Amino acid sequence: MKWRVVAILLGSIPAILAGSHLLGESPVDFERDVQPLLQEKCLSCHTAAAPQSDLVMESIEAMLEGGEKAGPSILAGDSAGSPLVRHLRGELEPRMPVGGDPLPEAQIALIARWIDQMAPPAAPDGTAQAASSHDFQSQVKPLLEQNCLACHSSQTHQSGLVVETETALLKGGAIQGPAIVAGNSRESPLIQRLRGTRAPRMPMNGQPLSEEQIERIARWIDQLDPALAARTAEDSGKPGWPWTPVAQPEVPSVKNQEWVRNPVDAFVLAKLEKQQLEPAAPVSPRGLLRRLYFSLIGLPPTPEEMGRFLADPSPEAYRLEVERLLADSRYGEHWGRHWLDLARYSDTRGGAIDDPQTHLWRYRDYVIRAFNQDRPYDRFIKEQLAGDAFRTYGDEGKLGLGFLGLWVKVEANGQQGRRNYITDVVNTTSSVFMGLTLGCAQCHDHKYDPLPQADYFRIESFFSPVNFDKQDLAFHQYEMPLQDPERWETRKKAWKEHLEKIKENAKAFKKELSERQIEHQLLVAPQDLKDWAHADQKMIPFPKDTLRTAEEKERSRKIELMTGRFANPNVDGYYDPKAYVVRDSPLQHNIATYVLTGGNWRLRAEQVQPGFLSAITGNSDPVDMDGLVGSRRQLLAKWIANRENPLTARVMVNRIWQYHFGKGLVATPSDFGSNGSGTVHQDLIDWLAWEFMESGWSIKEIHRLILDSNVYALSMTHPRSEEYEKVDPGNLQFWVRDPVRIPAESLRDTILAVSGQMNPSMGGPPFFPEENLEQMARAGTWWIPSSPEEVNRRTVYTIQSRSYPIPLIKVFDGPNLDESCVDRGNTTVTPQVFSLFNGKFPHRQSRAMAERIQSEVGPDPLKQVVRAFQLAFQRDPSPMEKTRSLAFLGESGGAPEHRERLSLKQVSLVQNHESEHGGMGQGETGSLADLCLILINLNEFVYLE
Amino acid sequence: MRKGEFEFCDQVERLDPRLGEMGRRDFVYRFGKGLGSLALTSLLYGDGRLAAAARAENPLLPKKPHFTPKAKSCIFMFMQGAPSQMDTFDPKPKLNELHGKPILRKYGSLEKRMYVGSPFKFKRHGQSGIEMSDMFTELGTCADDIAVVRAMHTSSEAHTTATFFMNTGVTIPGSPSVGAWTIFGLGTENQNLPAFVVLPDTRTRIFGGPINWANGYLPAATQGTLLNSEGDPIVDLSPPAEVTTRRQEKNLELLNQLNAPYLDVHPRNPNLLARMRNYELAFRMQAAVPESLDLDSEPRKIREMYGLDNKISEPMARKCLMARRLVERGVRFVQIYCGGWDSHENIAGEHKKRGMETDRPIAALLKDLKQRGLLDQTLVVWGGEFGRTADNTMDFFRTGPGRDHNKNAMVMWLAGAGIKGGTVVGETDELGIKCVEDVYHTHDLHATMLGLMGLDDMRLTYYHSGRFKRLTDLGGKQIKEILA
Repeated sequence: MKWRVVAILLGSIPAILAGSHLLGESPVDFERDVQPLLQEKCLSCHTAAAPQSDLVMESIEAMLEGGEKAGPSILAGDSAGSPLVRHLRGELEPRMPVGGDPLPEAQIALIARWIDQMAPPAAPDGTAQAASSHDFQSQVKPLLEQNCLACHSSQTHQSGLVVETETALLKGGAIQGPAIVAGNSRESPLIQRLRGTRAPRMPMNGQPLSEEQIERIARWIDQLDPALAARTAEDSGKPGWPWTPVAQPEVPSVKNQEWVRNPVDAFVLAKLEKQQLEPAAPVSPRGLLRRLYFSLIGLPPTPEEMGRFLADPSPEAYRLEVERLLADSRYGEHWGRHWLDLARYSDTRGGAIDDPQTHLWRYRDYVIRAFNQDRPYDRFIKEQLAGDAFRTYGDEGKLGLGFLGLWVKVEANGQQGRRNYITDVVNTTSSVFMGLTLGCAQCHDHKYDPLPQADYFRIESFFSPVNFDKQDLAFHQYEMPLQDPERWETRKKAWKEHLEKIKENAKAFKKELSERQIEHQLLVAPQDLKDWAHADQKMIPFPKDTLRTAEEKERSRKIELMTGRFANPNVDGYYDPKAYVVRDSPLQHNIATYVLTGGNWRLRAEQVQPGFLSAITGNSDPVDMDGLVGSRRQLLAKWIANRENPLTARVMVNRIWQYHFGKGLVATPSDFGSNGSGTVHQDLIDWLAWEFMESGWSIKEIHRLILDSNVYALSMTHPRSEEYEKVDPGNLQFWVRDPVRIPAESLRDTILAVSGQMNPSMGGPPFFPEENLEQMARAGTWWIPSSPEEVNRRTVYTIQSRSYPIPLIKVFDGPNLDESCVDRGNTTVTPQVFSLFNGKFPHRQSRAMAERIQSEVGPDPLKQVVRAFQLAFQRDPSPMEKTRSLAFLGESGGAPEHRERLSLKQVSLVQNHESEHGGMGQGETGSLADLCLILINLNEFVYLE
Repeated sequence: MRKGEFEFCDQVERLDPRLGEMGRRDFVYRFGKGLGSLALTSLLYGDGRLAAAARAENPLLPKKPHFTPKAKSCIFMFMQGAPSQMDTFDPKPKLNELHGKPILRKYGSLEKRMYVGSPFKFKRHGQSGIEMSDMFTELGTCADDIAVVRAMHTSSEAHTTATFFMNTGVTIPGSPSVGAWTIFGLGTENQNLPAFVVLPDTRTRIFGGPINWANGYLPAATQGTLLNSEGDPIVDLSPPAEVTTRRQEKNLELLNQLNAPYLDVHPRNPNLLARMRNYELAFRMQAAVPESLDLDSEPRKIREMYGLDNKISEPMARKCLMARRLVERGVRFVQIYCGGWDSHENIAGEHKKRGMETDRPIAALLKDLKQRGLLDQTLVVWGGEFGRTADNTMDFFRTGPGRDHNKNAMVMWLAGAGIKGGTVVGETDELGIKCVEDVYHTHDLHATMLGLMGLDDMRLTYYHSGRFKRLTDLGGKQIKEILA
């Protein structure tokens, strides 16, 4: 750097002289004319001894070099663009000298003339540098600084876009791609957005630039050499992180060593210290334990568990809690649910005929089991991609193959149907395990990542022989039927009986209906069209109002629901020991894989052989399949579940982080490509990935590292948050805890836990909760509401129906079951109130909670209120809460019209299994139940501390 | 008057502009004082910063369109099962000549089939002389408000996938419907009512079910709300019957009181306020939704006009009248499903019945919208998921022939805001099997619908699974010929 500056300076001396002659003015002499001015006005702050903003103004070299952040203060040959002049004139904030009088214009003009007579810097090859970069500094950058920098500086980088340098503009944002097209302003998104021909118009919410200003930027773009863009693209095209192998990064050293509990903290704190941010204080022990419980098992602690921890909230006691929860089988239910999101798990086919896939629940149980047993992640991958091929994995391995059978099975002809299947499997496999949007490369080379179209089909050909099918597969000893045989038999029996009853009812009622229908049709058919009634008996709908009694209507409704849905053979075989597994077809014509032009199965291009991603292997060679015994999928599985694969471990540790913090270190956890969010935490991800692999791919080990950090324990508030928000608006640096709503399943489960109604039994076929029958009627699936005990199991065991998601789950941003769900939304919408405040489920549960409280603490209202808060929040109510709640109980209990005794019978809509809850107290119980309902609706109930 | 109060009063007006003094007082009692909602409203809006936060979190507040919209609302009448083009709006005299002539052709497999002439008589209507079959006598009187698109085609020939396609622009489930895209782009004007309403046909199951009005990858708030014909119009709109309004108010009051301290100590979470606001909104919807569907309050004349008194047309009349009441109250997108069009057999009888069920209600809807000045700001779309064939299997010739599925030609019509009434665009071949001239695809229809609502289909995007997605995939072209 120094050498270059000196060279420029030496080169410019003759030019100074030459220039001055041309201008016909006496040349300005630095030492004689300029230096004294600077000495007087600037050097009090900008000396080498104590440079403000790192800027030294003692020599020409120093000014050309400039400050580390602010850049050069003078641009040789360009006074108008030189920050020095602009600061002196007040065009740039702050006007210089700060705190002193502005310089007279004559003096500024003198400095400007001196700058202008300097020769522009020479390019390395000796020619004058292309005008572009020069114009950028003087013409364009000031405009961008003034209008765009608030959002698109290297600090703020909204949409990943930084506009500070030419290169940054050419590279563009992570999501939208390049901001300018060198040599073509019309095609440049920057210009389009400034003009408003492309939305959103920029500056967003600000005054549009004048046409003259836009034209100035456009001219600069037009004169850029298109080759420049190509060079930039080449530079960024070389895959860097995350395509490079994972190496163990060094743990950075930090100033505040005390804060570091483990290396996770060191990585985060190092980043914070660089930006002069201080982490928030730790959350209260109560908040921490609640956070931990929801993190690991998706449920709150009991008041007793909280009491135990609060008596000794030491780090040792905390670690003990972590271990206790990791060993708790509810951990697998909660973390298994995360995986089921990714695996697009559903119990039904999807599409119009949304029949249950009756045995897929065995895959769901398999996932829960794998998490509980801390199955090594590499093995977990192999089981799901090729569990049949790894003989040593036995039947458990085969159950993992459910992963390959969860595509949406819409009706389509053979070829198209096959494409739907194959693309689902390829896309899901690449996004879930490797964080790649390989699906984009099905129709063309990937636009952003080094994934050529051929690679898509080379990966696809590992799956080409796959057939997904139902097979006999005996239950093994860890599965629900053998773990809990009694419950299995009970449910099986109930199912058969239920089925018989429905079929009989349907038959009888249909007969009755059809008789009355003919009668009805003759009645309503218009005279001139009476021939219809005869020709199309079956087509004229039977209006509901000819059914005389409410009971008849209800029966009719049920029959409508049931008939037609139970002709499926799956229904009778519901409890058979079968499983969906994949088998490779031996037929050669199924196996041949072609590149398909535009992804269209009708347009075959060249044939390809199985091969891995060229961006990782560095070549496009086919894999060696000589002597391969068993499925070719095992080759792919081994390649993915491998330390050499740069993506697998990184993607998984990021997901674990995501589920603990509500957001990943890479915010697009299934897109690690250049179109994803990217991350400033590459080294932390690498360190975790390294530890992950070193631990033998132990997920629980990563939990321990994350949970035992101070970053995890941060409080949700920060005294300087307003100030920090400006520096790091998205809290990308983790200086504070983000507010996170508990997931939909946790919400439902927590309500069951605090009401005391939770049925903890695990596994087995899904239960059918009682829901709105009319809505359900339009779903494509059949439905037999389960017994109340079954319905009170954890939400992970509900039927996951693609056409009829449970409303409470759906409105609280439950997963889209049609494809891999990477990230639950966090929307706040009115129907959430319907489900949580008006629904039958919360009303029933709050009554159960009230009963529970009464039986635990007796009739004293004060004790009841305290217990209610303890159950819901594991804390005592504040004096205000106590007063209000007591007043509420007293007041509402007083007026007789509010004493309705609510029997559970009234609420249980569906039938048959109404639970008999006796012993509910008179008087206060109704309002205590209301209090419980209110508590489970509070913000504090759905948001974590 | 503070902003919050203003909005609140505005909603009183909006709820029903014709509320009498009694009604208004009752409203203020029930929704104002009793609930203490003014307290919350001012809590929410008293501070500009909080108001901004609350706004940011409500994804359905009205948004600025891409360009000046022609239509404020859209009523999409989905004729499920696919109506036949040559029996409704695209007469084919040549086909009548061929009636009964055998043809060997592949439909699924190669089979012997027969041409089927239309059993319906066509007549020109209005000044524009649009041809319609005698299924639609009443609709004929609205001919000059309608633009018929004859050369439409789509991408699937199976009911479910074609229904997905007509609704979401994709044959596979998982993508947002046209209604969801619309409210994602525009928000909605009446926060007390759902922004996107679906009125189902209770007789038939909709192919593919709720996927057709799902939000797909868009925010959950944009999904369509199905209004039930019985019980609560929306699932759990109201609490269980034994919870009186008074009790509900008490509960809400305590809820607000207990929520307050938590709000104070969590300033970084804007959703807390939005949540509290939603409880109020939900409470108001309890009254607003049933009110908007209360057809008994309509004058006798109107009820007769729609055909509510006729058993055959009653179901469709009900939905059409509800649709008018909903768009009148600022609902952005209403989708009406009307099934039974899948006439593989006996098209003469079946389609005739569909005509009797729908002709009067649909005509009444157009006229009613017009007389209220609403047709200028409401886009009405009519059509099914695909078209039908000119021939039929021999099997049905004894019982009465019908028509099978055809994706290569179908007919749709549009009316209302921004539509040049009395237009016919596009031409199919002489048997109505394939499009010939001025051909438009489903994506083009979607682009036209969005365009009339003020949205540019190319700019209405959402980043999902690696790229920006659109309703029209790579874009559709507007059906220029029918635009006013």
